[in-house]
Amino acid sequence: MEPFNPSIFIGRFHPLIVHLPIGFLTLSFLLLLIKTIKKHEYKSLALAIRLSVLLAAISGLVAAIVGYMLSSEGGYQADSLDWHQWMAYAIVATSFILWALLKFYHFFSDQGALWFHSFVMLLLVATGHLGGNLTHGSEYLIEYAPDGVKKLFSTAAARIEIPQNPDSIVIYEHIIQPILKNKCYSCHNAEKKKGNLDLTSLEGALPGEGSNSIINPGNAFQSSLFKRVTLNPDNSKFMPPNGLPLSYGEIELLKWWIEQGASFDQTMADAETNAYLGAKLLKEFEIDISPKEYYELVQIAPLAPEDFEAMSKLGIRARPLSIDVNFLDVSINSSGITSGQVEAILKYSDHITWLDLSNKKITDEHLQDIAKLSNLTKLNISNNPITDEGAGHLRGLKHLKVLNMHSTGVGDDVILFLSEMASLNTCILWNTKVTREERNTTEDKTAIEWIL
Amino acid sequence: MKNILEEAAFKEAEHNTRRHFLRQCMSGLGALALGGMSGNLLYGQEKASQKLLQDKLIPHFAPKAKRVIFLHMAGAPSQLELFDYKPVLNQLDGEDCPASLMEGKQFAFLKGTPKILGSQARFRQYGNSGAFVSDYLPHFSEVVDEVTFLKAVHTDQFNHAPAQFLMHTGSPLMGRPSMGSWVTYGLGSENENLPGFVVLVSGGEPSAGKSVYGSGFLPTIHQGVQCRSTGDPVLYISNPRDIDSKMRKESIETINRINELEYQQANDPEIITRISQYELAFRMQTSVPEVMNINDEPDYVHEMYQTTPGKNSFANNCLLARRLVEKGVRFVQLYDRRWDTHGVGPGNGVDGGLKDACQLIDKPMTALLNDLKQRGLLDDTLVVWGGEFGRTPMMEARAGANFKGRDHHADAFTMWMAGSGIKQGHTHGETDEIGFNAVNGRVHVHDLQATILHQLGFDHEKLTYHFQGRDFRLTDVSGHVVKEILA
Repeated sequence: MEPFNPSIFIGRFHPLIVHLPIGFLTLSFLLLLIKTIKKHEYKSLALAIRLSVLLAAISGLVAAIVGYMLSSEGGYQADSLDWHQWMAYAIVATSFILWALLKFYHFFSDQGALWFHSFVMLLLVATGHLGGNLTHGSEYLIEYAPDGVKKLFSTAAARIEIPQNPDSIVIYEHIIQPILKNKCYSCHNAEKKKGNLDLTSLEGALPGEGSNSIINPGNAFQSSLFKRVTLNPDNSKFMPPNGLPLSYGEIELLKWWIEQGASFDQTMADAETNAYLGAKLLKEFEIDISPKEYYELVQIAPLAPEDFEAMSKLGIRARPLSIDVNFLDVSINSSGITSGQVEAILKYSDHITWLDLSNKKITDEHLQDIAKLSNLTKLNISNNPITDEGAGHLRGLKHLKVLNMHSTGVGDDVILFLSEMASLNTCILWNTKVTREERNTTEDKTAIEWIL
Repeated sequence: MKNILEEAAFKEAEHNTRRHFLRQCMSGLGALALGGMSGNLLYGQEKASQKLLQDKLIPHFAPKAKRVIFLHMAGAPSQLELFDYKPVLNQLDGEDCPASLMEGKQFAFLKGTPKILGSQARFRQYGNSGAFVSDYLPHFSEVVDEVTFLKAVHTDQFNHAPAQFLMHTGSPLMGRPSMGSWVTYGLGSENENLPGFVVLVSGGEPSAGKSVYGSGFLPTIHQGVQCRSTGDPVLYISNPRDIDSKMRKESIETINRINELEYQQANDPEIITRISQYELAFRMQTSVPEVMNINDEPDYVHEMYQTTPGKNSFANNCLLARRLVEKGVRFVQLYDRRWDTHGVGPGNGVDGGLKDACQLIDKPMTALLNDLKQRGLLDDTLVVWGGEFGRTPMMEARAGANFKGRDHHADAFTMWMAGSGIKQGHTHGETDEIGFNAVNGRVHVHDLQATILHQLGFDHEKLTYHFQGRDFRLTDVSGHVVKEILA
């Protein structure tokens, strides 16, 4: 429970009272406008205009006093508050002057009064807008505006696009900050520092040690940022006090970030994740942290249309893997490989990552050339007259993940060097001379799936 | 003759809708401007016609799968007798179904207060994944560690034809392109001599008819080509009497020259489709009989698949599916129609009838998975199995309680997927205690389609075709990739 504080108690009526002078001034301005346009018909309005201005001046004075009381509560951005305050005083003062002119200065023309009043109205709009920003935050008004309007007026950055690659995802910027932005920034920003806390510049004021710090890196339960959002919702210190609380997933991610050391530049690739977090990130942020394939991580320049045409003429079917992945998926149309095709394959060796040469009369000599395709990740050389010796050439393929050698002449000797290929994941050796026993002896040592 | 001309004029007028008119006005203006700027470069007709067919879309992201085999059990098998083990259902066997369960639901045949029907099969857990499989599928239980079970698939339709259309074309109404058509439209074929989308049918045509593998508004070259396992694999593929291969070739060449002229005048892309269809048909005269002839397979393969050459069976079709994907066919669609187990007579229930049906698919589909795996094809071939919907936990008893049957059920059924980037030995989704509703991991038919396209490298929201003034896509306006099942 907060103790009784008459100043703040009365001060909080400011947003209520402040609409009185706004109403009176708008009324007098409209009446004055009508009177100026239709001089003869609405002569009698003069008295009403004067009264309305006087009421505006008096109620404005009350609103200003109450507003001053509210400002003693603190937590507002000093700069904006200053402007709001002084402009409000100016409105009160000019309202009194306008009233006095209307009452005592009989030579004051309608046009002159209108100009004067217009100036007061401008002041009113500016002051009111500042006041709105102080109460609701500067993004409140355009939060639901069409995108174009938002871009035009928004001071904050547009919606953050989360990059696809885990090493480009900065955990704070892309995950944690958007949570704070959604749930905390409206009160804890540079303009309206509720509880003297500005979360928008968390990086600058990097929190200290001890159980009272906002963030205690590595220890979520000693960080008040985490404690306050996980209190019993009935507790007056529970945050956020209004609106939707943080979701379970958001709390988990906040905790994970703090326990990881609350770093502001750590990327997803550097962080320790687990399957549970992976699922959460996928569901709530559509961030896929599952491991990427080699060809998705490495960039290569696209080939020109002429290159594809040249290959096509030689009976080579080559396609880029996708719009963004320029590596090629290559197979050949003829029933046996030709020397021209071998040449072309070697010419584009850097680009080829999937190669299907199943049943194309591939021999051990060909494999010597194929071994030069250093970016190969999938190789299918099944149904070909190849032996252990030829297969041995492939040991240098650092990125090879799937090797299909079913129905070939290879035997147990290949198991030994294949087991040492770091990136090899699946090896298909069905219908070869490889025996189950040999495979079994190495099975425990490698993560390779042997298909016999 | 007059009538035909009149009809043609009428048809043409029909096609010119308001949207077309507006569009043509706009694009006409654009073309005029562009034509002026580029010095009539646009009118290189020959290029345009070739481009139309060669232009395959490049996947939006690197694919995991290059091919799909979809095993559709037309008629809808009972998940409660095959994969979805529900002990509580067995305890409640014979009890009246509470009225609240039926409220607001639509069923094809269930009336009044039906009784709960316990599972007729016995379940056990198999493999390292501990997946439940019933004794109806003894062979399949050996390969559960290869597949991901989707236990909570649901659909919008509770009658066969609309549900089959929804499953394969994304819409319950006839006329949309089927999944295989979308896939070949997106990726083309890997083999010039075979159609990219092949359909194999056993046990009778699916109730939705041939439109369920039609190409809808996509160019008709993407239509599914049905290959038969008895007689000519494709109807009229052999040369007619007294016509030899040379004469056939020459006549096709002549027809195509005429068609080429026609295209240059009319500019209708369907003419290009027709030209290439003639050429493909000619090449298929040798390639199709070759790939469809399973006589050359060794005995152990026949033993493995339970195949008998020359017979129309699901087993033969499974073996053919393997042979077709091995040759680079993009999409092989199998339909097996024998699963509508209402229990309206002997041999039509979820007891005997379903068990018999299972015997016809158990060994072949297990063999298909094993064979794909040992040939390394499972790495880039996606296999999908399922019906168009599931079956109710309640007994239908249309023909009295003597026959144990279940009605159509759209809210929860089991499908499985295997291969190319799908988790191995995984179960996604769960139904309630009696298998009536999906309680978590719900997967809508559109989600399944989105996932299949995703594995092929396509964002289902971007694989679209402009027709009648708007872009259409397989998943209509919904669908989410089921990322939880991706390895």
